[in-house]
Amino acid sequence: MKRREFLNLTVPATGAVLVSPGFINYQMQKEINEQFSDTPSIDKYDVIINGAGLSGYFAALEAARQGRSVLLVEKRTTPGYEITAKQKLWIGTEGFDLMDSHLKRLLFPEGEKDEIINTGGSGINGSQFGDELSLFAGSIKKGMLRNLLQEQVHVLLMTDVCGILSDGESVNGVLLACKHGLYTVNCNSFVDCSDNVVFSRNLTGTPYYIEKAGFVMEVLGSNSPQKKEVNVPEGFGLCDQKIQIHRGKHLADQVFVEYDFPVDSQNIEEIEHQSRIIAAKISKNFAGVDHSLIKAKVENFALESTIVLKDKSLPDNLLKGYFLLTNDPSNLTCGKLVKIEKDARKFVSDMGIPKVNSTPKELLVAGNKIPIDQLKFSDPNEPGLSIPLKKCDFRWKKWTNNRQKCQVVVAGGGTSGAMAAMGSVEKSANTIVVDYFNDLGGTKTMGGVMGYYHGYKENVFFKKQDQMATQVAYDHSMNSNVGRRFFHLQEVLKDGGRFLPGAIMCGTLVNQKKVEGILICRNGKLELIEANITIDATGDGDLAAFAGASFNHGDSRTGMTQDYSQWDQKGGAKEFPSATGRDYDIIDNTKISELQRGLFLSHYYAHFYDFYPMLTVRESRRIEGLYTPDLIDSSEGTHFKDMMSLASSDFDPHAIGSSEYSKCGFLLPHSNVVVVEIPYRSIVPKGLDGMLISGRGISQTHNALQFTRMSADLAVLGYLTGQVAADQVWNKIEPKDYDISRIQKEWQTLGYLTEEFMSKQPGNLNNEDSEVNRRVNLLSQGQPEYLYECVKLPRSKAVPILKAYFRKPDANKLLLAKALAWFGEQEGNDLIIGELEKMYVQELEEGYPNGYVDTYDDIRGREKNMLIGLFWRINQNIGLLAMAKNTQCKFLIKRILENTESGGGLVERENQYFNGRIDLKIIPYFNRIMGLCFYVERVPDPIFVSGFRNLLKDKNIGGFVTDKYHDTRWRVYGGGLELNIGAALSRCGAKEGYGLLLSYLDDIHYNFKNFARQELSALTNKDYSFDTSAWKKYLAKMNYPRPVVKLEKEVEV
Amino acid sequence: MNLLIQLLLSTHLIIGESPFFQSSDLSNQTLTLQTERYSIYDDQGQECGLLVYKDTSGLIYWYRRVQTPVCLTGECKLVDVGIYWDCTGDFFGIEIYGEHLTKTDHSVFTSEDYKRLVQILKNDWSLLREYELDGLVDNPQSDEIDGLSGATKTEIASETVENAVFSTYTIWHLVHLGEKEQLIDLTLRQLKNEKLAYETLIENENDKYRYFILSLLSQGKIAHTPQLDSLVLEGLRTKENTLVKKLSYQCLFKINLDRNAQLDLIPIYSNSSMVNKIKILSAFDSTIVVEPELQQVFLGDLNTNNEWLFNKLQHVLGK
Repeated sequence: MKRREFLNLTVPATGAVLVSPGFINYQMQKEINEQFSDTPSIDKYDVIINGAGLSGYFAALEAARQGRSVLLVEKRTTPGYEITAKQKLWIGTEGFDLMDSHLKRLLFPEGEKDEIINTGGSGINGSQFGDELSLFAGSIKKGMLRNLLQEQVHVLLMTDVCGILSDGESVNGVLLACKHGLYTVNCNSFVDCSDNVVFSRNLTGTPYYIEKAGFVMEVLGSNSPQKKEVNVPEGFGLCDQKIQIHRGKHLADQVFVEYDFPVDSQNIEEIEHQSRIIAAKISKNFAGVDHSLIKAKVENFALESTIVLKDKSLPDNLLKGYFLLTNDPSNLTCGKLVKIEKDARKFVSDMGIPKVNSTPKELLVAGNKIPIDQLKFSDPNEPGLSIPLKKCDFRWKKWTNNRQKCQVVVAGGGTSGAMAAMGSVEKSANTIVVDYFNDLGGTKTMGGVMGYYHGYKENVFFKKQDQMATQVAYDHSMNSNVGRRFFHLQEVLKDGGRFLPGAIMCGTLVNQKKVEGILICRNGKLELIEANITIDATGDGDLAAFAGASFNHGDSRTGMTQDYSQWDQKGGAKEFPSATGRDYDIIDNTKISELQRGLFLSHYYAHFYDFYPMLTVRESRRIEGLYTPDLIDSSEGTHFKDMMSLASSDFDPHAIGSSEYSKCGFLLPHSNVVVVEIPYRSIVPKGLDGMLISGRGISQTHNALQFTRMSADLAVLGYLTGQVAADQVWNKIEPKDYDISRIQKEWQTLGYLTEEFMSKQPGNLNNEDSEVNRRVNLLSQGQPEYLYECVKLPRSKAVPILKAYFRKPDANKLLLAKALAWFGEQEGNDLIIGELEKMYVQELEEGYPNGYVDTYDDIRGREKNMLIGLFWRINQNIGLLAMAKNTQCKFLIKRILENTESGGGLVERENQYFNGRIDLKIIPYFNRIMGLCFYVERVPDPIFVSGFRNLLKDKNIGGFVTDKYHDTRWRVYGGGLELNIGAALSRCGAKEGYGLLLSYLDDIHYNFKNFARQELSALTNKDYSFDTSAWKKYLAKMNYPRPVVKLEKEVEV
Repeated sequence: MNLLIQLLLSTHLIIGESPFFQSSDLSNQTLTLQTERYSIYDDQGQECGLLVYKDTSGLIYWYRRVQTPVCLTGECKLVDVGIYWDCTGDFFGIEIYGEHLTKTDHSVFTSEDYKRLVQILKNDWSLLREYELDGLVDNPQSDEIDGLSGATKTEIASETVENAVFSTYTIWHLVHLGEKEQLIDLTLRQLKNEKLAYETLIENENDKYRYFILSLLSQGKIAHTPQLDSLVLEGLRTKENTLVKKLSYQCLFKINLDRNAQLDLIPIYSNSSMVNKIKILSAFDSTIVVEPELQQVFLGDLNTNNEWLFNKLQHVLGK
């Protein structure tokens, strides 16, 4: 088939139909990006509202409509907490006609109809069952956020207000806690709409007494679902010994089981645990509770309990400009909702926003007044964020009264952290695990990623924990997700461990490089958790970074990471309008703006029924440890004497591989299934005492991470890290001085480490002369699979032997030449060029064979990672000539470049899942063009400029800077491609290249901005940071074409 | 491919028929059918009957006869198998009835294929666990199962009998997914109903069964008895089986810490690491009176320089 025919036949037009149901248009993209596309235009807000519940939401909209600048701060990942977080997904019909069209659209959007499978309802969207209307949490979350953003309310999710800046009389601003630290932002007025205004009660020291709490669980499998009240035996510990059952509109057998209970404790964390322990008691006895629940199964827990205070009187003597806005969401009806809206609007109209010109003198936090001179302010590195934040630091140990002590604190209760807590508790250490959510498990529970893709599943502990979690789920009639949450809770609490839920981890307590604990914010209150050992299990290395640990992020060239996901929930439905597990954009989770943008995108794209509350971020900081395992360790099977655990995966970067190994075709996505050892030294952060790292943030290279990030492996590593931490505290040994051999022996007797691995010789064969000789010899005999084996050898040993073999008459010179080229050698390059020319002619004649774009399923499991298709073999030769910096082939490369085009739009993949993965949604020639950039960056020459210029004219290649292209989710890799072309052009001296880099300084993606900035700095020896106008001015003065600038870069292992 | 989804159509018991293939663990064991009848639910929520067998020592085994269609290039054949699990819910063996299992090329399973099948079934974490039925082959082009419609995905080929991916997958899923938890539940019911079965299990010295019974105790699924209490104390002393020892410490909360047990604990506590001392101390909740002899041992530790052990001792002694 000829090229044209091929392109016409195989490249479909893609677009709206592929992104359904989450297709968002330019307007929507603009709404999402608004908050991240400019420098702050104000230095203070008219109003800051704490809590995006019903009142906070309505008040924010009203204030914005009145022309006020508004910042709405919400500690949860979504708005609407009274309904969405508490899972109270029903509303009384009373007053339905009073609701205006906006409210009706918010609660019952048209789009949700496709997901309403229960046909038994009547009324609006078929949502009415008796005197109640059933709600979808997703509809409300999506609708509320979109309405807020449309009114240009600034929104910060996963952020909590934890202090007030004041001049002594008036409010000047607020202190915010988020996973990125503590920040202040100025305002003229503050409205507390937090749950029960607990923030203000804590701040003012107003005592309160929790009278009772409530909880909701979503249940499937009801055999006669109906709204009713059921009497239950006393042993459940419920108020009035009753549960309420409400209908759901999603599925015909769906109900919500609601109950209130008198609390055993005034500690919110213990109340959250009590909610779940009661839930498990009920579900374990479903058959005895009600005949309709005989075959029922818990599908979901509410994200949080409903707290009811005995005395609802509000704190008084508030500062000027400090307001409280409360509502009564109990037994919510349409009429009540209308009233809440009306009250909020009137409140805003009446509140009178003072104009405050004074400067703050103090910071008020729960239990303390901190003089302003004790605070240190700095500008955050948040280019594009329109919210005028200031980073704020103070001596937490001195100014935080609320504190707890333990031996081991595990910061983050996710896949790894929940297991670390279990490991530490089992070793009898006094352990506290802290998590942002009220349930443990992270990605596997709050992110909904239940399967195990790869991982070393032979591990005895891995199997055991899975069996235990499965058994808990079965015993308590829970689905596997909820069962796992309850399993984690039981395991932590059973031996005296503590779980502090709902906590934002916002600081690390450090003393002279010794980590002494962490700072958290719960319900607007800062607390210190002091510990002998802190395990950073955030997955993002947040706490190690706070403590000053050095780290890496993304790939070594562009800093790009894997994409993130936020999965939709299916709620037991077998069929859904479209795939519920999608990959979204690339984000840099260490930036406030990027996390917010990620959350906003998910709201816009998600289905209506509901989506999991957690962003599942695949890659973030990698903390530098005492040892950094790399690709060579991974692929050569390095044995470490201090081995902790094993990991196993194929190379799965959820993106096109970025390193030289990938560019030369050796490390393609889903190739290279390996079993990797994780050494103890990689969990010890360099230069810090008192801390261990657990989870994906351990010390390792970007390539190595792709093999070690599987949840099965992180769970085991986490558990063992917890055990190590406990051993260290009992023996009073600092992590850097710890000898792991004793506990290794214990693990061996338990079967966690096998004799097979422990008896291996330390190191690998890679550096041994005999091995180097063996590989080169086999390569010289014409065995192409040894090319990859040879390029992994140390250069100093490989090159002399390769050269010696190359000179032998009967050697396969082409293969040897390729290996030599990898090491930068020119010898034999002409053979590679000759083969390239021949293959390229063949490609032009034949059209493009299968494999023109990665068909990962062909690569997955392929023996010896051999390149088969012509497309990638050509790419490999281009890559190797780039590695050799060969100039003889320039004109051939120019010819290929000038004959290359996009090949059309995004390639449609073979199934819905692959179609939902943005890393697979690339244009046909994506990797070819990236390969050409790879060459040109290393061998820049003005002769390439026209080829790239033409490529940029292709509508599938040029014009993907975010503000010029609305659908960034689906073209993030298009942006990456254009940016790479920009870099290549710039290195050739072309003005267009500099212009492109300049335009990417304003892109929405931090990774792109940062790469553009780094590249401009490298090319000009100047640094105007992210100041586009300064760069613009500077670049305008330069003469073009500029001299060429070669890229000099270490090979990324 | 729709037909693929329509597997698992019928499941029922046919008693008294002789298999023509039996896995080696089964042929080496004499199992006697018991009178009780139980049932579990399959993946589709359908109730399936189970039989109980016992070996010569009195240990329980569960048995399910399954007939389910697997289609070969347009022609559907019944896979007729009997699956055995031991009392812990682990796969024990398989029997094949009726006709031989068939492969893609219409050839029948050889004895080597059956051996391979058994080997695969023994792996409770086969890669087959993570795959959907319609994701087992590349580029499926028709509704045919185990047909020539597509090649078995390379990465799972090593986990299946050659040219029989769907048969292997179907049987593996019948054995492993969702069964173990239900079978443990049934074992518990049987143990509660039948004292002899309970005693047989407790007296069995095989580490696997000891671990199993202690797991049930630690999870509160069976109540402690003097016999079980002794097992726990014995487990605390063992130097051979670390897993049992570890589990015995977890069971300390569940046993009766009467005077005798406390006296037994004295040497154990005295020779324990700090970690295990804390475990022992934690078992003493506010309702247990510490015997003077053990109290003396605890008091002797109050000079510890570890504040956490000290706090724990104080808590127990201060009651």
